[in-house]
Amino acid sequence: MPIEPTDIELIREVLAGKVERYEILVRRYQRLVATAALRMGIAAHEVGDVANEVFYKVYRNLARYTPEHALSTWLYRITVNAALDHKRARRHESRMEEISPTMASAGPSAHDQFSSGERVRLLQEVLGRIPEHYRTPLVLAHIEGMPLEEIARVLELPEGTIKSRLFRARALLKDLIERHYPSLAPGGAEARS
Amino acid sequence: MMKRLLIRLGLSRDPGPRWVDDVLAPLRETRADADVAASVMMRVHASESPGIVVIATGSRFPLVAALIGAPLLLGAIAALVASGDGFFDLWNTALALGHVAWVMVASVVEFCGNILSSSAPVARAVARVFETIAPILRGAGLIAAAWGVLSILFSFVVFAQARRNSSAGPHGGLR
Repeated sequence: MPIEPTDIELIREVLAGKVERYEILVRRYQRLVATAALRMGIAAHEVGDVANEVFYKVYRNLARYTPEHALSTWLYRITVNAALDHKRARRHESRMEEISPTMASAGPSAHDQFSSGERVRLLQEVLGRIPEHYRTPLVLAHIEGMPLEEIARVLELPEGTIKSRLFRARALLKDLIERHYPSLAPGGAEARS
Repeated sequence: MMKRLLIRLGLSRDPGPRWVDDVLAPLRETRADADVAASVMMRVHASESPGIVVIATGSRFPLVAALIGAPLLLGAIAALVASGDGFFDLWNTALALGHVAWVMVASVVEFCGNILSSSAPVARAVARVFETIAPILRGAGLIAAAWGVLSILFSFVVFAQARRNSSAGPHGGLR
């Protein structure tokens, strides 16, 4: 059984001129990048564009990669930046709508009526209302499941800053859910009544 | 508004990581599967090729110029040497070219020196003016800051008074 080349070996080969070896790296990480982009709030039909941009940027900057941290950390950093750039570019199209009064006053039974797709859409909507600098650490910590030190590396910020941003992001999320989306709270609106 | 301020000040209650984990659980289950390998590699190859073509085209021009120019130059030199005083003509031409180059360098150096010597007193004068007016600028800054604080206090008092004097209607009001 042939041994899979490591990331570092592949990067060295690409830098040495074997460009076609880059395809193995792309195939290895394309799911991670696409999923991260989706969780950062990129629409499903645009995830491919963002992933393409990420891997092209990675290729252009491959010589700058330092192997002291995992390639995935670097990929996350580039994905987060690419996703934010993409969203900024599309801001005029995807401006969040005002919350409809029916959603704001969703009754206790609304929780049961949600399909999982609808919950995901509403959660994306809630996250979209949290400012970018709070939302990104929140997504990395509670959706991607990254430890604090890795988030600090991805966002190139001190751990203390990440901690305080996470604290505020969680408080904002709770505030938004309690005020506008009570049925998204754990246990739905029943828990509140 | 108040709650937002409390969150910003860090005084609002953090629901804790577990609560957030529970809320965001559906998003953790989302997956995307984009096959971008082929399109990325196409883009990579496309970005490589024009670069190589540009470099090749760029390096071709000096090569062609050298190939045409070198025989012409060598021919001219050979013709000069072959005619009677050719060698001395060549020597004189080289001396004249050297002299022109020397005059050009000397002119550039003199020009730069003139610019520096004329701009130095101006720079010194500007620095002296700034040194003189620095306390005035500091004083003006302090006065502006004090004026700003006073105007904030004044508007605060005016608004508080207006709020006290206004009547609240049945559907709410300022109160």
